[in-house]
This record gives sequence, C-alpha cells and structure tokens, in this order.
Amino acid sequence: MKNISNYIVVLVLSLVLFSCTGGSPSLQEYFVDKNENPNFISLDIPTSIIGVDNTSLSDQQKQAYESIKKLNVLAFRLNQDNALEYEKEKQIISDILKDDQYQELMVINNGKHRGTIKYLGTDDAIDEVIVFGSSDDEGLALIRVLGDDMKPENMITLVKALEEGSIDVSGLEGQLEGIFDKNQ
Amino acid sequence: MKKYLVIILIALSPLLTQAQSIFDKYADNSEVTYVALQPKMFQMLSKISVSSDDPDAQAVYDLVNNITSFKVITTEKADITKELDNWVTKHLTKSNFEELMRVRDGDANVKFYVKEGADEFHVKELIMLVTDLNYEQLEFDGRSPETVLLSLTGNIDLRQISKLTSKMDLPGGDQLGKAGQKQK
Repeated sequence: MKNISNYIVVLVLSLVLFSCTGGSPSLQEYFVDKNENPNFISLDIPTSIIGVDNTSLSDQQKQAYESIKKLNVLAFRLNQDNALEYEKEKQIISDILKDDQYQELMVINNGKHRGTIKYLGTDDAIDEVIVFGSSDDEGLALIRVLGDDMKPENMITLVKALEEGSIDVSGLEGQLEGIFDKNQ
Repeated sequence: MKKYLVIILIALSPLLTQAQSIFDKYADNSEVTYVALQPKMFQMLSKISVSSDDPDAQAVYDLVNNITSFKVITTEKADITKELDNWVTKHLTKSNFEELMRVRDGDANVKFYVKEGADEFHVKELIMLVTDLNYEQLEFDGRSPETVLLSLTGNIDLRQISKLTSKMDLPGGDQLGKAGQKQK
C-alpha cells in the first residue's frame, strides 16, 4: 500500500514539474502578444525583399540565402510617457531569453546600452537567431531571424556576398529605417 | 540523508566558484562595460573555414579555434577597479593561477595571470588586468581610471597571442606579446 502512494506522489510531482517548465511565454508568443500593443512596432520581413543576383552567388551562398526564411522585428520606441513600460518589457524579454533553450553567443552591456545574440537549435542546424538590443535613450529592438537548417559556415559566406554587392539590401533598409525615426 | 547532502552541496556551491565569478557579478552592472563571447560562438567560428594568403591571418584563425570563451570588463570607477584588483591578486592565486608577469607601461599597470595548460607554452585560461597606477587617487583629482579585465579560456598558445592582440588593438596588447615571447 505504502509503495503505491509513494508512486503516486512521484507521479504527481513530476507532472507538476513538467507543467511548470512550460509556463513562461515563448518568444513567439511574446511577438504575437505585442503585435497589437501601441508602444510596439512590429514587422515581418520575408527574405525575398532582399534582392539577390543569383548568378553571382556560389552554391554555398545560395544555400545560406535559401535557408533564411524571414525576419521578425519588434521594436519599442522610447518616449517620455512609456519609460516604465520600457523597463517592464525589457525585463520580460530578458527573462524569456534566460531559458536554457536559448544558447547564448554573445553579450554586450554598456550601462545604457545592451545587446545580446542567442540562437535556438543545434550547433550545426540553427533554427532561429535572436538579436536583442536595448538603449536606455532610444528603446529596444528584438529581431528573430527564422530559417531552416541555417549553418554558421554558410552564413559567413553571405557576409562576403554582401561585400561583393551580390545582395541588394536597400529594400530591407527601407523597412528598418522608419523604426526609430523620431519625427513620426 | 541524501536530501540533506544535496542541500548542503547546493548551499556550498557559491564557494566552489571558478575564476569567472567576478565576471558574472558585474555582467549586468551599469557602471562597467561587459562583453562576452560564449563557447558556442567560438564553436561556430571554428566551423568557418578561412582561406587567406596572409600567414598572420592563418595564425589568428588557429588561435581563435583554440579559444573557448572571451570576457572583458572595463570600468572607470575606482571602487570597482579596487575590487577587480583585489580579486585578481587574492582570489586567483588560490585557484591554481600563477602570475605570469607584471608590466608597467607609462601610467598603466598590467598584470597577467595564467592557469597552466597542456604544456609550457599553453594555458587553459589567461587573465589580464590593466589599471592606472594610482587609480584610487585619480578620482580625487577629478579624473577617471581606465580599467580593463580580460579573460580568455581554451587551449591558448602564448606564443601566438601577440598576433591576436595586435589585431584586436587592446590596451596592454603589446605587453601580452612580450608575455608570449617570455615563455620561449
């Protein structure tokens, strides 16, 4: 009899533990959640906006380019009225990103300015790269680069392609320009 | 009984901290600048093949391949500088670090500590602290000290380190080069 009740206790405890770990909002949920929030600007940029001269790309570069599907951008523009909100959202995003599933690549913290790059996936096949930057003067920006089996060694070849001009990012720049434009 | 053992171990774990703890302490502090590149970042960098005609670049690439993490703290506060200085001189020697060398370069004091690696030319961890000579006095004079604490972990070849620092343009980089030469 005692054995059975022990079993039940263990079962209940493990169920509770399991459900607890799923409790915090995922980044994707956060993005969806803030879509309607007036403090946030939300953009979904498909990679097709980046013009590519197919003939001048190597196979590796093509593969890298095709593995990126889109960019999710969420930006919070800081003004006199929403400072408290800014701090709150900054903390929420930080907390979400603290989860073990996000592998940290790099972090920069300069008092007022902070930035971090993390990714989801395995070392060879990255599913998502997350860039989170905040500036206590301007606001914050959260970017998810979504792809399929993105390989780091291929990504670097894209940088080369950018330098060589085989990739045209003017469309992308146009989209991102308006975000922190204070005149809007 | 086992439960108590686990609890005691968890309670004691802060005492078992390694050299990275002071970096963790100041990682989020707004009075310092903190930059960290995590092991995963270097793992990815190592996957990127570099073909270059520059033999120096090849050496830098080889060195980077053997680095597992990189952390820097810089600060202009004398009290934090003092804490970093104390940590370096007191804590490190207790944790299997040896002082490699000290250099006075103009107004700056540079100290190098290493944790022994695979052989006499390799170290598992390298810590460098650059402080102004009279940093406690500087604040009275209305100036700010410029302090840099840097940590590199991996399988670091001291002989190659000068090539990396010359590319990175770090304060104390020349000293590091001399440190590398000294081991020969």
